[in-house]
Amino acid sequence: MRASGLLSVTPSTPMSPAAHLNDEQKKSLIKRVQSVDGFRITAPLEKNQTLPFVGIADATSSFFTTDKEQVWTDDLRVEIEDHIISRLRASGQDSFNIFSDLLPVVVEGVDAVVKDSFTESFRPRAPDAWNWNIFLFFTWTLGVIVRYLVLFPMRFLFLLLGTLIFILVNLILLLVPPSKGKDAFFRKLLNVWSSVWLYSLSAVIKYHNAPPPRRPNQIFVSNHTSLIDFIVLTEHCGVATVGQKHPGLVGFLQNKVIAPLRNIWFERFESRDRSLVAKRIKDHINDTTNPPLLIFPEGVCVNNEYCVMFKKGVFEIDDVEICPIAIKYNKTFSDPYWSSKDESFVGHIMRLMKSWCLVADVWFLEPEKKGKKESPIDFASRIQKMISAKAGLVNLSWDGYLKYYAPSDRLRNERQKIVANQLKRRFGHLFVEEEEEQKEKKEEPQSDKKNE
Amino acid sequence: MGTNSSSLRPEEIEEMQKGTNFNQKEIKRLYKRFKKLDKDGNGCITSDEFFMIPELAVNPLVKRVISIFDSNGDDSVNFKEFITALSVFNSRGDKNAKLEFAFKVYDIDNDGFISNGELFKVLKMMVGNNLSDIQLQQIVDKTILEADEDGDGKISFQEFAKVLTHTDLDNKMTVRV
Repeated sequence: MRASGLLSVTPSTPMSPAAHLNDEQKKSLIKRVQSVDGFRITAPLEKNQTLPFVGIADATSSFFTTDKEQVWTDDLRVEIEDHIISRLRASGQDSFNIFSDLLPVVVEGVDAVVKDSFTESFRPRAPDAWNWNIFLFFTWTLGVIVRYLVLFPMRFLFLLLGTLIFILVNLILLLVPPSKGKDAFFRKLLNVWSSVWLYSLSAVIKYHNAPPPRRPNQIFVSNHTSLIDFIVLTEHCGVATVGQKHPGLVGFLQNKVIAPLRNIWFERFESRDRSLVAKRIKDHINDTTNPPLLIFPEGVCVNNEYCVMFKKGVFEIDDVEICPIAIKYNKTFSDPYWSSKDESFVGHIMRLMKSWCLVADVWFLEPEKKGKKESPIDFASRIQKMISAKAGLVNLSWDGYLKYYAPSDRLRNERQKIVANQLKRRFGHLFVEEEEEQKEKKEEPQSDKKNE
Repeated sequence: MGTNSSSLRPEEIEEMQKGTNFNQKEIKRLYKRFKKLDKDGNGCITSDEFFMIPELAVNPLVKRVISIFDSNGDDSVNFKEFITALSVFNSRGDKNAKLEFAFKVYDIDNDGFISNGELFKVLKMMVGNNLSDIQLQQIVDKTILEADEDGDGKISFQEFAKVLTHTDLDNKMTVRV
């Protein structure tokens, strides 16, 4: 949803007050008055749903999007409900009209044709054209010359040189037998190399708070925009990660260069390996000599304006301590969103190197543990909200993997249930009569028999 | 920048402006969106391409909406059809056009009447298997009975319009572009 003041409300599971109404009634109430209040249900996901590719994806339950700056809490949701209910009472509209009350379903469809939050999440930012008059154009041209002809070659050479030295040292390291000292040295080396990357992007990164001290069973989770996220965090606190295997240059880096970090890689469509991946994650985080594990629970790169559903995966691990990290890039100079479909990694890095600089804020938030009664899905959703709130992202409950899969019919069924409930509420008395009639009919022949 | 949006020629835009309620800026924006949805870039959006939008794919009435968009019935939506249909939902859109769109949702065979069977089909799409066919049929019968004034057992456009007289269509059927 664009930050246009349009508010999307999805009535979701545990909802407090308005005690005299049950959840179903509340849902239908919200549905009914949405036009009155300008509320609108955008995503029909209400309950946790699982997509066909077993286990990888489960949606979080509650879902709330609104203007970026505002962060809605559950209390607020209750307030809205109460407001809606009182509005409904005041209007006293008791008549139900199928044609007009089901109209919102049509309008939602058309709305999604024009603009949908899911596509928005993966949309690169179009550069602003500000070179619109002759004076600005001159300044802009000057900037282009500096960026392309001065900064870019310098940065490129610096990165090349740094990388060559890195490779050279690595080659020498191959001769040294494996040892703890070697691993430590390598990690230091990797930190230095990451700084080379960041310098060559003229990265200006502001870190807020210190990363939590290394403890067993600890996993860092962060929102995901680009592979740069990983470089940024490697430079600061040397992390290992679980991620998707890439082809090409990135694949080479993953397999050969950063191997001593004991990263865990898997194919995106490899669902069979999942138990293996889970086991390796567990082994990794229990051993405090390993670098902390960084996970991007969104599973895909998002444009740093939205935050798509956090997959429950790592949130399921027993007694895991989740350390949320929020990363917000400033898009004034460049858009660090990496859409791997449209852009190769080299192209992505080159593009960033041609801009003035890369500006980002990184927040290390308080570590969190799963509540006793909390489900992994709710836990994941809670952390997602924390990160979105800190980084000013719009929280969505769409699964990022829907980029690759069409949503299953089950999602539509959730939507249909809502409509069905609405109809039941309105026409319920008809059905009761019907049932009674049927009962009577059944009883009649019996009594006939008796009479005979 | 904006290499995609510039492929509409000015005279084309002008022509579209006449045929719809959109201004130049909105048409350009919609063209961008159209291109985004038209994944294979063949100039029209097929149902499969529409289904790639999760928000749309889970909409129970998506098939009806697409078929109304597709006014020439070739199973795909070209840009002209795209903006013509969306124009109805413009805040400057005509109330009657909005009403017609809503009517077409139910009038599947396009004969100018909503029959008992058609209303049943559409409601079935909306509720799936969450209501029994008997229950659904009761709702359909009751709705038709209430709306049908001339007693022909189906709802004409005039009868449909009458049912929706008190509905704030301008507000309800407006989509921001």
